[in-house]
Amino acid sequence: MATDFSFEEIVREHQAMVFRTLLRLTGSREHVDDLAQEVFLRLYRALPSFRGEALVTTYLYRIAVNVAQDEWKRRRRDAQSLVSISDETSGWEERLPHPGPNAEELMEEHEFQLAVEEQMQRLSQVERAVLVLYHQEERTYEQIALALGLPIGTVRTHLHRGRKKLREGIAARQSEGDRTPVKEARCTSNG
Amino acid sequence: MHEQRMNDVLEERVVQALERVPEVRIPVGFAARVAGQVPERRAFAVRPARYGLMTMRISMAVLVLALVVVAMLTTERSIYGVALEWVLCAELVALALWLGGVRYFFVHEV
Repeated sequence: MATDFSFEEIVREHQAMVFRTLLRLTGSREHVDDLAQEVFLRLYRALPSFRGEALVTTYLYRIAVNVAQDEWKRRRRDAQSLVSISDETSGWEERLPHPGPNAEELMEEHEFQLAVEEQMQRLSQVERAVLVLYHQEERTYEQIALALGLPIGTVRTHLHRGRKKLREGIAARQSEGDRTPVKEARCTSNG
Repeated sequence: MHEQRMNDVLEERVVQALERVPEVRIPVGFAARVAGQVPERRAFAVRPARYGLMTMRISMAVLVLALVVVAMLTTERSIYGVALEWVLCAELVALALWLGGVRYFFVHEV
């Protein structure tokens, strides 16, 4: 059917964006396929009321944020532990060509990335959404305001507040000496 | 000063980490699978609207009757009588137009 075929095109065109946005917002690859599917199904249901006032991407970002929020609520209910998306780089050590200064830098960068993602999950949902849309998706303040239904000033406030919290959280973690070598980190797992 | 620089360096690293796009693994055929789950759109057809057809016919009959009664009663051609006649005529004309063709421009789903 012509309608279904064009919707498939919409999905194909925007699926990568939806997947990576959900990954960052939820902080886990768990159920991302199902979440992404839910995003597109909600978009399909909203299409009859779509008047072309905003881009499809604006709708998709708004829906993705809502779906991620629902997922957070579900996880809190189920009290599931999170597996960071950066934890799922099994065998990344084997990908390192040779042990040496480069490997150490890569390891440090990887741990820093882990720390940022961990701190991201401690932010409020709005702050997390604004940071993801601004930095990862490279949306403007106006586009983020439209997607989240917030005033532009509020978007700016959340952005700066979120970055400040991230910075302070990571600094606190570093000062407490949480940076452990990879071997010890693997032993402690999610403890 | 040193602390400010440390903060700036940390801020820059945080921003770089935020801008790093995570690797996505999209299942093969995801788009087709999602599109296959949406319900079929119902077909549309154009057909005349039939909003209260009987009600309109009855209303027209009542209006005609009202006009006749007003004409018989207001023999002095007072301003109120004339105004009432005009209003009733306008309503009759509007109903006639509606029954005649305007309603055929409405669309219904089958």
